[in-house]
Amino acid sequence: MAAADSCDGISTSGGGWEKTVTLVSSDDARFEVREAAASLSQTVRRMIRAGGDGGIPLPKVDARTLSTVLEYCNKHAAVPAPAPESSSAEAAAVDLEWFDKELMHVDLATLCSLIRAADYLEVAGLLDLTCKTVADMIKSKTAEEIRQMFGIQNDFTPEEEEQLSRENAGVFE
Amino acid sequence: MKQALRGTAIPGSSSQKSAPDRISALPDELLLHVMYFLTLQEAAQTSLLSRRWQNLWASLMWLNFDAAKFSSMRTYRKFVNNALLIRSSLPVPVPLDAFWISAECDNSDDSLDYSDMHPWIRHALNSKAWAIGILKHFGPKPLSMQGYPFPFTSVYLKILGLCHCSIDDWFAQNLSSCCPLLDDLDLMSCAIHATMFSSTTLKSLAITSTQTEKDFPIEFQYLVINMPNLVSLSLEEIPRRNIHLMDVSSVKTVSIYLYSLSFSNSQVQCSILSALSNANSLTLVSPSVYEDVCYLL
Repeated sequence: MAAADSCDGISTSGGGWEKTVTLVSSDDARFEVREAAASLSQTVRRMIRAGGDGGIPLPKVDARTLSTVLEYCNKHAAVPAPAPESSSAEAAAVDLEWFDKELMHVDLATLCSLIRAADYLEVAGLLDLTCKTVADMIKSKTAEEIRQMFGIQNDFTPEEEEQLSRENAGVFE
Repeated sequence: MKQALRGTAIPGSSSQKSAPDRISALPDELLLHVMYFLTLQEAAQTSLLSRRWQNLWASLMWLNFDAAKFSSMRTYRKFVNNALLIRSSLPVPVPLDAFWISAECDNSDDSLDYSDMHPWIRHALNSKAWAIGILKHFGPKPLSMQGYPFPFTSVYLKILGLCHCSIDDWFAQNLSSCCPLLDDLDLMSCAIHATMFSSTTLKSLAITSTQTEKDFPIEFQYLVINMPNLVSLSLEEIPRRNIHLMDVSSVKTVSIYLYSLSFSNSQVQCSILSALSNANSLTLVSPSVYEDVCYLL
């Protein structure tokens, strides 16, 4: 494997020697992250391969969002691969699930930023997690309830609305 | 880990109170990603939210039409027809990845005929779907494609699953000649009337049990399976068919349920084992063996 120039250092935290990389948010905050965690982002992984000095710039993600994304990556990359079907594998899965759930306790604006960031950074697991969180909010609600929750402006004319609900009669019950 | 997190990050302090509609501002593909986690009914309902959302769901590329929660089969049929109509009139055609039909309704005993599904399947194949399935079907008779041109002709189709369909030699022949990329075939509760199944493309074949006796073929015959590139083979009972494995030399994983209706004598079983000499995982289940064992104990 070619050593990437953007690898800033070696950290000894946790007992092992681990390569780290520096990510730079749109508002110039620098994050030093283990390469294994940062590589959960396909975008970052490609940039690591391409090499470069002074950290990896991520102009579409602000520091606040990036820190949450990295919290996700750190947690998910930290999971060792225990023997499948062992009790520790099960416990780790439960722990991850709990972690994911907690991570999604955010306001709507943050959730939307996370969706965009996960998409841009290509963190597949986080994109699924955030999109599923929005989907769960939509489930079993009426159109009006969804509009209120998300602040969606109903821009249909009354006639259009009537026609729409006529077309869809019987489907949503 | 914590070190990395804290870093030198300064949390963005702009809090948005009178927030605009951020969800609707997401690009189409991200809203579609959200809808991927909804049922199609729930996804279709988003059409009512605003113009931004109207018919957006119709661009989903993974369609799973499940009748279970519909009030009736009639409503389900109308829903699918309407959805495909909207899809067909999209300004830019959207291809499909997968298209699934589950025609079993919790609230009604009505059933669908193949005539209902034929246009749906054609739509899916015209949309370049690579995975198609009739995953559930409930009805007095198996679905029969007789009288229709072979529906699954496609250069994109890779995965096909059929439930409660009538499978005859016409079907089997067409499958091998009209689906050059097909590598995964799953026949669930189908009425197997075919006597010859051959394919050079199939990598995985699974045939699971036929449910009712009236779907059985009238007489015993051989069912020849000739699939030199098959890797995974799973056969449950195939009533009144003596399985003859001609060339399945690439098969690695096998699961065969030795049911007396299809494996009536030991000769058949021996020829099956010799045909599977390259397999590295073999599961044979025989109810009669269980019975014998129980008897001995």
